[in-house]
Amino acid sequence: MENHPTPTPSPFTGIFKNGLIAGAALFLTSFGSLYAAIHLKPDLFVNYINPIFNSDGSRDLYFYLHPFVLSFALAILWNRFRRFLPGGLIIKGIEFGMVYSLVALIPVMWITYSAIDVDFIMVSTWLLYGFCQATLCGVVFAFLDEW
Amino acid sequence: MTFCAPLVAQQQWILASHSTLKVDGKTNINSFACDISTYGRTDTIWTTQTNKEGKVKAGGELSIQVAKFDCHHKMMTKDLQKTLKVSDYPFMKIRFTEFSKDLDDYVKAGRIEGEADIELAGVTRHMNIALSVIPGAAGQVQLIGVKQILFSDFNLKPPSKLGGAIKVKNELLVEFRLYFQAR
Repeated sequence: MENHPTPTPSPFTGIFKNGLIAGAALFLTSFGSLYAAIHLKPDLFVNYINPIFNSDGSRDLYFYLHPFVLSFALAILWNRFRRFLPGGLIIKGIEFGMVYSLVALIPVMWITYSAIDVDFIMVSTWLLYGFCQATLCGVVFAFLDEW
Repeated sequence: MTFCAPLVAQQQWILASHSTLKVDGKTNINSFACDISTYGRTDTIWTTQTNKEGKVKAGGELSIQVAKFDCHHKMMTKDLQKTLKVSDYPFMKIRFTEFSKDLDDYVKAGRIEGEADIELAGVTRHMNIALSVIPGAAGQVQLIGVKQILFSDFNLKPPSKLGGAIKVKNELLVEFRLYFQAR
């Protein structure tokens, strides 16, 4: 009797599933928190009435697709580096968020602040926002790994 | 045979450079007031009484430099100027075409109706404007007009940022104070 080995699932299936689920979670929390922050702290957003931000709505679709672009990119990163992240769900998530912030966000925010006429508080909120997004993705990925 | 036009007296009015313009608007997060604190130049308009109803024909053009709008917030100023397409259309123009009464009929403050063509971002709209006339000393007249306009009247789209999360409302309240001196 022949013994057939169980086929190994393609890593792309896991990346796709992780990206999609984390993207949906990120979409809800990102835009939920954005609208809540605009409602609660409108003064923080006055500086967005600025010509460097797209005004005519022509790129709104790209704006709303951002959580999925981020979650798929982070799903690839997670697939490669998850074995280096110890601890429980929250610890893994925070560590993942910190890695992403150090490797990607800080250099990008640095060059943004140095080259574009945006204020320091705005760039700092982007850094914090990106860290929270990556942490949430890390928590979702860790949860999906254990599930 | 010669045809002669009826002789009508034309009155010329010099617009003083300290005339002002203010625009009030709202967004879903704040309200803003942008102004031009001084017109910065002098211009001339004229009025001619033409018919029995006492209506007065007017002419002459006021050219307002869009780049002089100041919203007292650097980025909002830049954004308003971009929205008004300052690089393509550097001037907002007001051409009065008619007044319901002559400006020099006033010895005390009163109200009149004015009609004007307003040109903004390359689009001209004919509008009725309620005006207050305040006579001053020696042929001086102050004309105060308040008019609600819409960005969409001039085919402009009010700015919307962050996927529409921050929106400027379509309505703008324009208030001008024009100081005229009879010539």
